[in-house]
Amino acid sequence: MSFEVIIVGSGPAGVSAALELSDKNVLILDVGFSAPQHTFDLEQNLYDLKKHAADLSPAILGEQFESLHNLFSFYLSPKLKSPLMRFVTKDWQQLCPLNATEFEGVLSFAEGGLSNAWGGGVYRFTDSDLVDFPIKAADLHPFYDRLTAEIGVCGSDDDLTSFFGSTTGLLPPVDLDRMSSELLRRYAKKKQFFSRRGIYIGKPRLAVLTKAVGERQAYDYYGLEFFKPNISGIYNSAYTLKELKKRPNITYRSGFLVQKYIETPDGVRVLARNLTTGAVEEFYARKLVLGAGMINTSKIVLVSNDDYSTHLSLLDNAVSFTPFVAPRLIGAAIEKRFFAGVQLNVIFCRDKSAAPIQGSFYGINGILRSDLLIDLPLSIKGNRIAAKYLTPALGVLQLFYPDSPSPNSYLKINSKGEVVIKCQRQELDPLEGHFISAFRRLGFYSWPSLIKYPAPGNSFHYAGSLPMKSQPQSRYETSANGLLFNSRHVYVVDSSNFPALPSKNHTFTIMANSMRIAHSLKRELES
Amino acid sequence: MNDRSPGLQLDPAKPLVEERLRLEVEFFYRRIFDSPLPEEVREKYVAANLMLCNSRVNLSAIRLDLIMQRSLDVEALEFVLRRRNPQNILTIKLLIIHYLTEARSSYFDFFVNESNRPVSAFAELTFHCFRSLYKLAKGRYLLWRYNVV
Repeated sequence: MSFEVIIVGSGPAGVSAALELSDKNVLILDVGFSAPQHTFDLEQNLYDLKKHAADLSPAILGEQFESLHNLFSFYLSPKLKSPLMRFVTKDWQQLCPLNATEFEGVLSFAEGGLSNAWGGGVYRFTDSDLVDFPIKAADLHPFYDRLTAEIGVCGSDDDLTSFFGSTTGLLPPVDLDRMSSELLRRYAKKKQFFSRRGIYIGKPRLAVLTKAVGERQAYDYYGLEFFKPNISGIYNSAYTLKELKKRPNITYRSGFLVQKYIETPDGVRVLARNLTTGAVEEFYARKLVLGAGMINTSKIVLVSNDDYSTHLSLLDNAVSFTPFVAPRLIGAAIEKRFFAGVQLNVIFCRDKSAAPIQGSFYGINGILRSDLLIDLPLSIKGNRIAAKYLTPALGVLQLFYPDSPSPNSYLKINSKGEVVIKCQRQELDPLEGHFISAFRRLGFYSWPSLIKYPAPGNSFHYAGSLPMKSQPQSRYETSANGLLFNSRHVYVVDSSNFPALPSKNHTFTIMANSMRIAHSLKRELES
Repeated sequence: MNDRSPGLQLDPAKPLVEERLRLEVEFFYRRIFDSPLPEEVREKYVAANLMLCNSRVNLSAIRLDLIMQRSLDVEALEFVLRRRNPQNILTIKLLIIHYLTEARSSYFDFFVNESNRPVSAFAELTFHCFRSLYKLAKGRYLLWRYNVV
């Protein structure tokens, strides 16, 4: 079978490239696990369901007790462990085994990849974020604009606009919950205090529909993000894939795990294992676009080069979680209409020319109370009471720290076919204390002993193994147009090609950059 | 709390492990929720334990049989053990019960507050802060007094 382009992966990178190349003869190869079919009636808000459904355990705990995963195994975020969301990380340890120390990342082989479980944050990189990149923000702008129209992005023009860029095409912002509205209202009165400390707070940019767009409904405020896959109002790449499948030039083949490629003078042979038969099948195209996610893409490139010794750089946003309590909301009635994702963004930036540090503030209304019991400081009965009354008053600030290449964080492959990852904890210049002290002015309190620093990998933001350079010099570098060094046909479009990892959630930039690379590839195919 | 529970006799007709789990959940539940255990929760607890207790869990690290035989204060012991190791088997088992009950509408009010009650919330939380201190001291004593771990 011969195609003009083969794209590997259907996550944000893969579908964005496919969108740009959709008038070419394109094959998308993907493992492509899809969301499970279910018969649960989840057409009410979370709390009405919990109140009226006699036993929700099949839907929220699972027939196999999937939601109890963290009691018995490695940590999975509440979203990834819930039964209807388990397809997102299904079989990843078999399909891409990791041999990792101090790295707790996960991979996805689902249609749409990890975007099935993302927070929906879409942030434009500015020139200060792109200092180490061989491209400028202006190179990405047209693609950010197109994606904004394509996927639907909500947000507002506020104190964060100078960090988040153009507001063109934004839908109205998501309705805030009571706690975040209160925080923002108080911040508005104390802006000078915060700006002197380099702290800015505003509404997030989210790939959430606050108005219906095309066939997709507006977000319903049912707060079921942790339990229900494919909520129409929240974008994930599987929606774009669904649209792409309708186009005559696009062929989508799921059930294939791409293992390696072999370049020929005129194109690329791609070898993929058919997961149903176990046989390795061969596909051929003029160009190959790798968008399988940073770890998997790196593995494919290393295997294709038969290289079991080179260390590729691994970047990962270190994260921290700082809980805050707003005492005046203790004992408040639960809000049944709510968005369970990011409510507010915070930026720390003392000097506007420097790359900002970004954080997300969200409530905990959308998770099970039982998930909290292990972290609260009282006896188990006391913790149940605390979870009941504190939930409306508890928020979490998640900070993301930027990362740049270091010899102590790398990935390679070994002869057993495993991806070996060594990822040292970053030495941070922690900002949490700064936020704790500033938020006190807003009536939100926390204590340094409550801050959690999860192991590397928990951000799910990985990057940097095949970095873009203006003049690539090694075989594991790519040009500004994504072309792998010494290659004529292999392009990298996922975050592997990021030379550095800014603090901002990188998904929107992965998509825009992938589209940009695909745009230049398209011109090359036409020339 | 020091009298031996009458429910601790094994039924020889039922598989030993399952029967032990039923006794266990009966014991734990009664001490956490102060009410009779629903049949559905009991059977799901047994199923969850059989399905999930794997080699990563050190079942013998804590002498649950001793806790039940002596009818020790499970809340106090769990609190102390959780502060030492949050992944201990006693905490895991109590959390399973909480997950199973939270999924049931009949327990909605145990977990969710539907009306504005700041005063009673503060009062209950204050009470439980002091109660937790008491449980912590009691748990330490029980650990010292009995060979539970």
